Amino acid sequence: MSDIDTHRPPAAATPPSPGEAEAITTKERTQLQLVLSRFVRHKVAMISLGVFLLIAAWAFLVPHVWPHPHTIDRSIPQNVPWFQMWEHPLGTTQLGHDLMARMMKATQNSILVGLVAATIGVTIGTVWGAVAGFYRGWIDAVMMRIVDVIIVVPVLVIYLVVAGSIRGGASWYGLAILIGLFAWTAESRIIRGHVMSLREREYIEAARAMGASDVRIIFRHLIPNTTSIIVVAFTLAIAIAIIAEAALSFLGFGIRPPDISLGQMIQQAQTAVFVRPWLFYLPGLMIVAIVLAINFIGDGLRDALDPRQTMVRR
Amino acid sequence: MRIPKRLAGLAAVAMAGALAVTACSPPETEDDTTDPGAVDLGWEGCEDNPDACHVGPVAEGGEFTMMISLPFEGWSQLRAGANSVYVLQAVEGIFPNLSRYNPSGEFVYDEHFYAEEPHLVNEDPLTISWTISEDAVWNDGTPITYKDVKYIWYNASGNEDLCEGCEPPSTAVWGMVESVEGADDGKTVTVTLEEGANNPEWEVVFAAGGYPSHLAEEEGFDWENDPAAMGESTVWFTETMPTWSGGPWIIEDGTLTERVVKVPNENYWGPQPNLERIVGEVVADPGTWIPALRNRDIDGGSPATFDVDVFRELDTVDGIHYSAGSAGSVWEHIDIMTEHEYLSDLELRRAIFTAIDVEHTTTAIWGDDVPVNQRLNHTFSQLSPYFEDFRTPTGFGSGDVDAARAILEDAGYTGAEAGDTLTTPDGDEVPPIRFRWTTGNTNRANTGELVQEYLADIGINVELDPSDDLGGMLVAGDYDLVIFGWSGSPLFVNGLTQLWTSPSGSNFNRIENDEIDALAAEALEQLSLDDAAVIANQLNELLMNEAAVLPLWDSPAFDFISDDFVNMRPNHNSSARLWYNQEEWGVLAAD
Amino acid sequence: MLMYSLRRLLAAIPVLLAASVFTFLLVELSPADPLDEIIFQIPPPDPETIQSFRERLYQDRPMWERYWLWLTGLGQHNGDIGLLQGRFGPSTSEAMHIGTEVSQRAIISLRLVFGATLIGAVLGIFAGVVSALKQYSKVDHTFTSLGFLFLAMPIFWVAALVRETGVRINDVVGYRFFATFGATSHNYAQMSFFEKVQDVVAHLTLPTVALVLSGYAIYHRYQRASMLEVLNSDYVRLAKAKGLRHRIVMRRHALRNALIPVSVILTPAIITAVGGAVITETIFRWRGLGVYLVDAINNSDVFAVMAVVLFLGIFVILGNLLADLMLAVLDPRIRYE
Repeated sequence: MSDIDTHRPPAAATPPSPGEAEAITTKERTQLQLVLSRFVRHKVAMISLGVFLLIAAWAFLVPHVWPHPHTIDRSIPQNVPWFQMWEHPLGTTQLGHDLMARMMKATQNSILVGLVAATIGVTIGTVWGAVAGFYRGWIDAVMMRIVDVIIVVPVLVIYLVVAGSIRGGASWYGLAILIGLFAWTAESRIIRGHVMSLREREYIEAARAMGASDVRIIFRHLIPNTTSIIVVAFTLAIAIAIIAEAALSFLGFGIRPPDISLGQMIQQAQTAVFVRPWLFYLPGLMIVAIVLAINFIGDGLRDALDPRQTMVRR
Repeated sequence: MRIPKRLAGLAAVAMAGALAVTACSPPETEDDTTDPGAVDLGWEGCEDNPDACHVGPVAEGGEFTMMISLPFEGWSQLRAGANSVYVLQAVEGIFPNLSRYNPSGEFVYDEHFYAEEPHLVNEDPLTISWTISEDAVWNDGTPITYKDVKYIWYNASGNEDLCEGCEPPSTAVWGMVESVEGADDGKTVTVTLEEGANNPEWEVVFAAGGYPSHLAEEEGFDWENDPAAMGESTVWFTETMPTWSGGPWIIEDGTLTERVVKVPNENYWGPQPNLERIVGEVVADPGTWIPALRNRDIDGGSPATFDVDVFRELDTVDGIHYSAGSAGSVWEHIDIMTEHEYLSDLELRRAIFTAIDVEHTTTAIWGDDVPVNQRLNHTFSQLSPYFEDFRTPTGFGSGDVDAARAILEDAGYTGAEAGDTLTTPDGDEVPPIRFRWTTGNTNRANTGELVQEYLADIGINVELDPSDDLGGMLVAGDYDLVIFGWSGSPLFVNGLTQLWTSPSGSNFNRIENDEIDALAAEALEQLSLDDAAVIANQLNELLMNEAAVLPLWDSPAFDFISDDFVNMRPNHNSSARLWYNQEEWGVLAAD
Repeated sequence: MLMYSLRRLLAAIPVLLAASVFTFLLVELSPADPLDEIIFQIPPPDPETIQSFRERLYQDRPMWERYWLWLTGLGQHNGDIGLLQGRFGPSTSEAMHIGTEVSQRAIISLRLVFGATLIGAVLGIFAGVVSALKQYSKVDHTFTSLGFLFLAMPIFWVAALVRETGVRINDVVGYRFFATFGATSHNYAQMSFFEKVQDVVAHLTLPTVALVLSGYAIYHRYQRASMLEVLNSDYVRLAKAKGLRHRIVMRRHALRNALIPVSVILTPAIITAVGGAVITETIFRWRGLGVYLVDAINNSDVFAVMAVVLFLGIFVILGNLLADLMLAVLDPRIRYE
């Protein structure tokens, strides 16, 4: 939550590289292969991808075969510590929640919040930045002032105020939409900068000469050429959204029971750190693992998409 | 976990007579259960001997840091905007001790304050009189007189001619006063009620110690003659940290919402406190309590909210005493909206209440370690001398699914089975019922999940729908089922009218029962609490049969203190709880 | 440069205004009612009391008028509202004045934020330089992984971990070195200078540690990248080729130039820390802006929320301006007219 603006270099610090954009446009298919092969060679990223897929599979698939629901089940023994019963490897709560089921559901929700919020945020940010950068002039001025306004109000404030007032907003998607709706400002700026230089290129001139509409130019020519930025921004946005959700839950504005998220679990375990420490540490570690994995994947993608960044001249 | 203050607002007892009931202290010597020199250092003895446990030799001086579990946002309870139990806890001890409820529930007047205890002078109009001790003075030497009581009356009168711009928490008590007069240099106070007005709780609620009205005058507020100045003076008292005192303690330093530091008031006429200093620290986040206690950033606490995990964690902290209990200062209940299309049917409501298993809910939430009293009466907890069990005979809260099905079948319903959908005699399927509670309250959320399970057994589908706005939700009647808490106190008579009678705005279930209305009015006409209680119980029986409000349990509160101290004991009968006898607290002498 | 700054500041005014409208709408459109708290007492207050409360909070006015009042104070009746007249409006907590609260708490919060940012920056820059110089070494890997790890940890979780650790250390040492809540002890005013320092340090240490981590991570990442870029640049290679001593090349050419882009992230880092401070303050119960904000939101205390947002907004705008000016000072190629 706290590092929304700072993951990415300010627009000025990474001027778009002309070579890369040309490379993408000229031989698209081999480019994809190139990127893939570069990514596969990035060991940490590959391991992270594996870890992430494992976690996701556990969270999304295992609940289908797991015998217990994440909600209260009267038939479950209460208050079992972890590793005491095979039935309940992570133990149970006072009320009869199976904690394994809860962890899976929570992880599921956190990942979903991350994915949905990132999708929304990145979509808005990309379109917003591309439109502003394409039209320039007063449209650009107005759009960027709106960005300024949203940046001036700390995101946390927006989240807290709105999350506090979603009616019955117990759902993960409500939260995801909320996080996504306001987490695109930094990205829109970067895309805008990029598009501003792209629009002067010859192939855009050519498209325009051939009578392509503005919409077509933006969506078919400009945005596809910012893929590398978008992909990296997307991975970062997932990580940020997961942490944002956790922070909101902690402050009491997150997903509401009986639904559950990792942040919510930590928040509830706050008062049990000494008697059931695993309840506090495990969800935290899970967040760390997911976010780490996603960040490493993003790193690998960046290197794969933009080889210049890792090229070491000696 | 943050507890929205709105929630606490509900839990807080915003009693009209708050100052009278709680800011009070004990007659020190007459406790015949204590033999001097007795030593009982744990809290184990508190069950059998609630008023005289945890006693031992006291050393000189010492400092105790007490946790205040939510921020206090003003320096007085004069105005509704700042009134809360947390303000009460912060300023506790700077008012003269008047009377108190001991942990055993016994009500006693303070012998140091009263030269003559409050008594009835006349029944119609009701006239009460008492005499303040000659020694009783504010710390600047000004005697405490009838004028100080008059100040309270002006504030809470609800009369524009007496005060303009006062926003008292309630005018229920002082609004019916006709005059407050003084005699014998102002030391004898006579309170006369309006013609025809009555208050069975007069022994407690009118016997006020007052506010230092002379300070308002010194500040230039001509409160007695100028209603606007009166209003402004209450703002001044609320905003200004009191450096005055008429009680055993005086505030040395403090910051709103953060902390308050109290030292003994040297000009107090009663017995001096043992401790040299009491610090009240606001520690709002329950996750912080245990670390703060382990670190001895606080020495004790007495929070209103209860999380069973926190209670278990206390077990891991060395060198403390802790306990949990309740005498019904807050009690939880599930309410049904009686104007709901389907729930307006009494039989359906009865079946729902019968299917809910309160015993199971209690153990699921609290486990076996925490003593929880089932609430079996809408007005009186099991510990009250007036208690009568009305819930058990109705079968409500028994979780007896067969009985619930029988009620439904007798009424012509079908489909009262798990996996089926309940259908009315007219053949309509009962739609999903919304169960609501305030966000942030885990215990209530969990109760919701359990109720969902119970009602599934009789074919009712429950949707969980937490709310952010308890007040708005209740006023608008925007719920089908809802769980929340009411504050109870040893004073009950006014509550009958406010909560259960048809014209009242706080009758959130929209109960309409003429007999209940009549009984509530009758209770108000009694002259003693005992008589009023008899009528209250008649009302309670009718109310239980309405199947609109299912009393669940008295919310347990807990107390914990470092074992370096003595003379501290849980007091569930006072909203000050552990704080009720601050001046007796002391450091345990080494030998 | 002065003209430039003035122009920037003037341009910021409409942005701030729009931000205030935005915040106002956010709070006002939420269903919670600031009067809930007083309505909901047993026994309930008189209708007159509620009405008077409503009027005091200007809740009797339509929404747009309330905003207008907040901004200008024209047409108010209590002399407590009107930003342009230096008044912040009434708080739902009657005894607390928004202006006083915000200014007092800002000092408390900023003390935490600046300290943590500074330490985080110094550590991060140092580690970033080392990482770049020894790229792909064990040291680099350690520093870099730590950065990734710190960024991946939710701040409240870290803060709670740090607090547990602090309590455990106290336990083991048998002396209360770290305090778990508050910015100072209650008897701060009576302490000698040395005791005051010790008291502040005892209270500051744990929250600062919690906040420093993310600052470190950000700075390390940027410094490492920037330093690598400079090290691979032609002028550094030229300097090396000329046979200049390694140390001089590093100090005069590499480090200096690598620091320029890093200075730009000062403001974002501080903003990050402000966000983190909201949560850290909650955990360590500092009477800071963050706790005030969360409480205000909980109470639907619209004017208090507006005041905090305005303060943070001005803070962000000034910070950005400062960063730009700093960049101009460090990098002679940049000129502002």
